[in-house]
Amino acid sequence: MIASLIKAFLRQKRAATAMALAIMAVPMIIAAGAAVDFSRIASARALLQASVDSAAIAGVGAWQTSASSANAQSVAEAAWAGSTAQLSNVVTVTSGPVVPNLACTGTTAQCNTTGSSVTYSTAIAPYGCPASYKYCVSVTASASLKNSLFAYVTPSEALTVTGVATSSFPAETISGKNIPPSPGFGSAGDVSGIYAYAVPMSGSGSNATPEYNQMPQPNSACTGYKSIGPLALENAGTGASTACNYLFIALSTSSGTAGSGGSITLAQNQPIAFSFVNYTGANGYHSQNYYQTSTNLMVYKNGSTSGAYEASGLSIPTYYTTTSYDCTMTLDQYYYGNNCPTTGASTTQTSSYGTNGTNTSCQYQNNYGSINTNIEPTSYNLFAYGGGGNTNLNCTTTVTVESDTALSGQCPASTLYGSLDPVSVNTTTGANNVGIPVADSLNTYSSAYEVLGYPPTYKTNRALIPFVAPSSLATYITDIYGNSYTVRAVCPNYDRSSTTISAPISTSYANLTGWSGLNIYSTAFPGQTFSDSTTAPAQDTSDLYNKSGYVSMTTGSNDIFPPSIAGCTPTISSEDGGVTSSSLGNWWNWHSSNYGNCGNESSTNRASYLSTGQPTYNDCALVIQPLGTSVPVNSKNQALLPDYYLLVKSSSGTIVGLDPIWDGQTFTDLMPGLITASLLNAIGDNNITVSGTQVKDNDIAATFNSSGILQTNGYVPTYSRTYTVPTTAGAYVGDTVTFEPTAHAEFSLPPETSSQCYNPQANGNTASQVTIQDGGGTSQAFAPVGNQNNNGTAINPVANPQLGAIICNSNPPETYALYWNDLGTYGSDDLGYWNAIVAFTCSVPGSSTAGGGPPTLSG
Amino acid sequence: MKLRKLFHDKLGRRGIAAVEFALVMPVLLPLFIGTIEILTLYRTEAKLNALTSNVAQMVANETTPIVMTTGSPETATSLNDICQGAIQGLQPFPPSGLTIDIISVTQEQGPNAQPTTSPAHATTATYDAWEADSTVTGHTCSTIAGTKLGGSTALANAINLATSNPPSPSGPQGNTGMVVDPCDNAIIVQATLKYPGITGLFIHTSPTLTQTAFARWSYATPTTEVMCPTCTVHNVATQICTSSNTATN
Repeated sequence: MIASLIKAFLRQKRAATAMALAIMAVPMIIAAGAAVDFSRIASARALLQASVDSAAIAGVGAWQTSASSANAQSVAEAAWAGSTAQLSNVVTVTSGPVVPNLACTGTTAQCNTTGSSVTYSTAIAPYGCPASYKYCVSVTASASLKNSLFAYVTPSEALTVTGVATSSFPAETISGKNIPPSPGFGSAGDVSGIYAYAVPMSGSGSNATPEYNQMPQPNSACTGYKSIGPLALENAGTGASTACNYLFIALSTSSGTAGSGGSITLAQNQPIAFSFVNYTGANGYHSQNYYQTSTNLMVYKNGSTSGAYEASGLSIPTYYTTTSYDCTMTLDQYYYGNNCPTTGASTTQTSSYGTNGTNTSCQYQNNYGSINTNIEPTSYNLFAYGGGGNTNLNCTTTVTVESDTALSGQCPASTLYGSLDPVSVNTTTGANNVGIPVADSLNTYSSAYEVLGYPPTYKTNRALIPFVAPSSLATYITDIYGNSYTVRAVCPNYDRSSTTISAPISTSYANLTGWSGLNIYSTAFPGQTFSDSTTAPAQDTSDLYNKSGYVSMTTGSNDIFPPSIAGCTPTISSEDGGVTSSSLGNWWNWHSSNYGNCGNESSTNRASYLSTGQPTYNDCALVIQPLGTSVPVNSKNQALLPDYYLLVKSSSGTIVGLDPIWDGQTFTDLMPGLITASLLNAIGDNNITVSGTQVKDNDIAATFNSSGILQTNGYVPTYSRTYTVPTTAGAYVGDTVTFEPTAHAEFSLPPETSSQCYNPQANGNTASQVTIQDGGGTSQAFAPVGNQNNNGTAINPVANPQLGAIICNSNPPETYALYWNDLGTYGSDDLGYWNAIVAFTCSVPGSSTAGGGPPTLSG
Repeated sequence: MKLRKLFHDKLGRRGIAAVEFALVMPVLLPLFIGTIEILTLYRTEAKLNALTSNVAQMVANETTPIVMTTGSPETATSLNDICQGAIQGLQPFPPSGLTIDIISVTQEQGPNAQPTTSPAHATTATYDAWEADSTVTGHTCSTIAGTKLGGSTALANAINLATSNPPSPSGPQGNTGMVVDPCDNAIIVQATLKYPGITGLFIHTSPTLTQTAFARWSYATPTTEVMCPTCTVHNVATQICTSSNTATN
């Protein structure tokens, strides 16, 4: 029966479509439901994904900027919360409040400077972040989406999404705008400026490394000579720039004047180095004074164009004229009247008493009314004898005497005369002066260079060209035999015996400039080379000096080199075969009297032309002294320079560090224990304020006016200057502390610090023992090279900020005192005498140092 | 019987398909249209979601000079360009009626700045804010007046959105929102689109889709901020976050 019904149903052809529809309805509805629900799922997932992505991006961005893990978390949570309002219309968030996962591979300061309890992973990997990134925020959320037509199959869908956002350490822009004036910037005869620059980096991303031997070329915005200082004299790059890529810090000619800006952008961990640009001039740059010299002359006789070099000078026979006065007077002729002609360098005078047969008489001036005829008169009053027509005087006799005269010539009075002027425009005339010798030279110092073990000069003097003074400065003289002499000084005035001045860089150039006998001297900079393989004189390959290049030099016998300025100068000079003498000349002004003991170098570490005992470079042209993060400021929020330091040495004599002290100021001891636990107890000197507890006796605190200029010096310690740190002083127990006295002026840095620069061993230290304080107050071994200078081997520049570079990554920011000496003054090329000190306060990424004004930089 | 005989004899099986079609159509057609409509609606919503995020990211990724403009011809990155980008992102759906509201909030001074001597430090936080609202007619973007998100008073609602957690136009401002430190920034974009769809042909009440995206200026540094001088602007007196302190922001 049933079987027949089924057969009948199957045979039935009516309503086949309805039947098919009925059969297909189920899958059709399922398909439609699935399409709708899958679309809903996709949309919900996209919305959920966008929400977690937004939260992760916001969080990592906040972290990058603030260096605060707490900020990263709160911002990510806030961004997520902002999305939940619209999410609730679609899905039900099942994961509860979102707590982002945080990872950071930076330092503690970079990852969490606020002391927050928010934890983060120090490894990137757990959250699937690319290892090349430094910050990583991962946000995971789960939600439930109720199905609609598909619900009879699956009531709801569980959605879980994760957003991962990463970032590198941020670029940091430091603006020089509104940098406060420096309270401590000194001034010398030269024009000097201090600038900060971003040490160029090679590579990119996390693989980037600083190139300490490079300085960025100033861009076209580094103009404004008067306002920004001698940096403007550097060759600027082409192309438009909105801000100078050097940060102006201070200018010697405008102490107390705010800087004119500049902006540097730093990638994370990109160091800042400092440049000291010095424009020389004995009495100010572009001095127009001249110096008379009677040695080292070129003498051209009787119009000859071939001069003779006279190292010790030359005297020629000449005449001079002598005028005698033979006046007589009578005792009764006592009058006041005109003076006898007694003046004149070449005159002599004689006298006699009595009538001279004329109507003129001279009176013995010193015995008015009481004539002593036995005394030779020293001056006479001449009068016209009244009455009798005795009004004429003729009492002189002129004679000619033969003598010798020393020839002399003139050199411009400025230091380092003869350098080629890189200035494109004469500041006075507006003329283009590129390549023209000028009275001054431009010296560019780089603190970063010291990290390579070299002195800090990056470029100095460009090409120095000893020369014969031009005809405009020549002197002319004729001897008694009628020979004419044209005398031109050899400038600079050093003994060039055994050398010749025969190598002008080009004839046309010499003709063009009027300087003859030009020869090239150039300094050899680290990483650069000079050619010395030929005996040919140094010549530029072009007719005109290529201002953008550096002149190759030779060590040929015809070349002339300046005096042994390499002795204690910031440059490594080429050798001159020993023909030059010491540096104690009028021109180069270098002196070996600094604290660096540079005169005791072995022959292997000094320039070979120097004899034993002559100095090698050992100066410390700059010190970057960390001052900590709690530096007192004045009313203008300018960091104050320390009044003096406590020099801390270990029992072996190694310099452990310097503890700065500000008179009468509240600060946090940079080297805890030295002041609070030791100083007062050890020597009873309580004239120091620490951490707000001021204990003072006869303190006179340093004061500054509204412009930040020092008005009164601070306290000078009156007790024993050296003591051993007692057992209560923690880490420095047993060390020796010395009060460093002020030297030439307040703020001076202890001269011992100069010893740290290049040659620790020469200062009585075993190289391996010598440590240099780093920015955080600890010490790091100074890398010895050959047991002598640290020449050529890089050290950690950031761990040894005295030598080169700093990284601004602390919060609150670190302040550094920059001590500079341009090595340009005789006998003063050590840091006991400074000619520039300025404080530099870092900026750090993050909230605490927002802004480009005073908190970013202060001086 | 006669009727049955009539159908059987005269018409036979003719019209069966039509009858069955007529019977099935009321079921299948709504099912078909409804499926498309719902799919399109979700697709549109997804597009709107994406374009909202993209607009936020376009603003957030703006680099130096950080100056947005609504002007034309553009001398800087134009919000009009970003709006056009949003239109492209909505394709193939018609963009007419799309509105995009963008606000940016930057803290200039705040209590978190340290040390307290810093000019960025202030007991009460201060904020710069700007808002730019655009609407699309056809495929043309135009700036519309008003501060839809920011509110009428000094863009207070915008600041509230950026500084409260969860973000709310009524605040309260606090230290747990997206902007907690000086020079921190929040960019909030809200896009709305009235979805007509197929049913819009005969149903006048169309759903309005709204999406909001939160972003943070990616290139924020301690000394800069994203600016839009030609937008509706609320600036505080003390400017900290611009590198030169001279720009109009």
